[in-house]
Amino acid sequence: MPRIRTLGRIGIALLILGLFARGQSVRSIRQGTEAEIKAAFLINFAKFVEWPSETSPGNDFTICVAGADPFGQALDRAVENEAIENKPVKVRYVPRWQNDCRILFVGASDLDNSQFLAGVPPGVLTVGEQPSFLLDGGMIALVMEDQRVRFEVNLRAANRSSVHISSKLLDVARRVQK
Amino acid sequence: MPHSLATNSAWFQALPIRRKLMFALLFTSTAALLLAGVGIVAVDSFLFYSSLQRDLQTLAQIVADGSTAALTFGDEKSARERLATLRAREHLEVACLYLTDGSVLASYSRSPKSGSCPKPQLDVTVTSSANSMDLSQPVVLQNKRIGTLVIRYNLEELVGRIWLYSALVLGVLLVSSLFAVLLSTRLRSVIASPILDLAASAAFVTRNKDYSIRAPLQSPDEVGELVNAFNEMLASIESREGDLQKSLDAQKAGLVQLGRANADLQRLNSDLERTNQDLERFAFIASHDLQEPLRMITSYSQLLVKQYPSGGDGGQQAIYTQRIVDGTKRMRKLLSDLLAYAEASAAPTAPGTVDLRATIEKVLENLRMSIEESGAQVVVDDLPTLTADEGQLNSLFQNLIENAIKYRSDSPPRIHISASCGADGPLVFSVADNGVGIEPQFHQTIFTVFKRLHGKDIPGTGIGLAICQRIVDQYGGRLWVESPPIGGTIFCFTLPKSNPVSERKGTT
Repeated sequence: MPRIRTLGRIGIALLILGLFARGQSVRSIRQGTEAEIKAAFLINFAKFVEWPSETSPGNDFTICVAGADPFGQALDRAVENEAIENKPVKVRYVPRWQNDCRILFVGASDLDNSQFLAGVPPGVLTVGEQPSFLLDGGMIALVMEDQRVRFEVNLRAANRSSVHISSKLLDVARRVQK
Repeated sequence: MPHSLATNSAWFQALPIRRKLMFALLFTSTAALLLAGVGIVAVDSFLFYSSLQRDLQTLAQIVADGSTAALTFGDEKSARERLATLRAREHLEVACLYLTDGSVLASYSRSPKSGSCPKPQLDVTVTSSANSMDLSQPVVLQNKRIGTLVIRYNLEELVGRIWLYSALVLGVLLVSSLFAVLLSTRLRSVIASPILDLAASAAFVTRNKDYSIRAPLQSPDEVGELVNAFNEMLASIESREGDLQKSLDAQKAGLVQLGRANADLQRLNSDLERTNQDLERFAFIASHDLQEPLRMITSYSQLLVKQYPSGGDGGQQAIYTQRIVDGTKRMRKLLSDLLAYAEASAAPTAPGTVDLRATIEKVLENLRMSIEESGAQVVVDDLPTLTADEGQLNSLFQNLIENAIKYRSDSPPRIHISASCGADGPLVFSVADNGVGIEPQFHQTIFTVFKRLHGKDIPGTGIGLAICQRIVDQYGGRLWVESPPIGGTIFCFTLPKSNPVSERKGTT
């Protein structure tokens, strides 16, 4: 038994070292800057969301960032070596809606979000960080609570857009609007 | 088991059958139940353990799957809620969700003394200790490990189960032992009783020697066969006993008959002896008293011949008278022989020391006339001295020597008298001659009184050998005749050895 325990400890140490070496996305969930955590959230949402099968254009999985960019370099670093639906993840910073976006992050801006979102076709996951984002028809809104990043979900908007959000994600959400 | 069969076989052998049956039943049921109990507990524990392991792995997979979002977004509250669903498992003590950096996102403890989180492992791992089982389940999202779920399960349930089973087996054991004891009393009447009855019957037969009883037949099994064999044996012994008794009775009856016959024979014998004595007395008296008138006839006949030598009838009278004289002479001889024969049967009158050589010399002197006349040669060997009546021995030898001379062949007679003296046993005397001999068919009859083998050409009364026979009989000896191949006759007789005083050198 002592031998097995020793092996187990060595295993854990290796595991932890390996995970540290792999990237910051994991570490950034609880440690790291707000920008890093938000970037990780954005990528992790993709793991609990199913897009309608007909909307899979292009060879890349594209995340579009519109409006004010809260990530800085954090998002670009986070998507390195990441793959969603077996496709490499690309980040594009756009002024307005682009065709090949799978996730559309809407940063703070002067634009009317409801108008902007109305122009987005179904099959795109919309994420924002303004308090009124869900009311404007957005699907997921990042919110700060006790110095921690959390999110709320507008399930109706997602359903309307044929984006299926996993119940696991809903469990974690601070609030779900139905 | 209090005693094992192998080490205490002598002790077990000495037990009564009833006890043996009880112990056999007890041992068998106990051994069977113990084996069955241990087997059931072992198999049940193993099955329970493996099914528990499968259960826990499934459970861990479900919880890990549900915890992916919580781990991904580091949501401690959601993670705790996930783990709290494990409360349904009563013996699940600790559950922890590790992040990939080795820190604990959330943990669940059934009670404050449940302890801390077990260490996470690389792969799916089950580690068992004496009373707990640790399970480490990686949490994977889209082929990427995002954390580890660790569960500690208390195995007291399993231990409790084993104890419960053991108690159950023990209980059944007690009940079955009781049942075995009860059953053995019942079996006793079925199995042991016939044997006990048989033993009692055998003991009864041994004690009372009564073979008429029979052991009761109760069952047609081996014991029944034994009872049958025993009964058949008894019957056989009984019939043999009867036969024996019958033959004993017959023997007794035979003995009685034999005794009766013996008594008859004795009576007849004494009758015969009396008759014989009467006859002998008659013969003695007759021969003695007849001599007197006979002497008168002889005397007067001789007187007649002397005074009237020739009658008027030309000598016929003298011839007749001479014939009367001859007849009376023959009659005298006959009478004196008869007298001698009668006297010979009397007991020895004067037993004394007899020098046989002297006796023989006297006999030869008596017979000198006929010896010289016939030219006989008499050879006498060494002869012993013995105790007897001299007159009887004299008569014995005289008769035999006289016969040897009388029945001679054409050549002059040669007579050889000898005595052989063995180391023990009687003396054997023999008187051998070279005479005419006696044919074997007459060897027995010649000793009968008045028995003669020759006609009137050789004078004789036929009493001589009968007298010899009677004398030898008197001494308890034996007289017989032999015919040697070279011819002649040997008369042999035995006399008891009566302290011979000395032996003298024989003479011719």
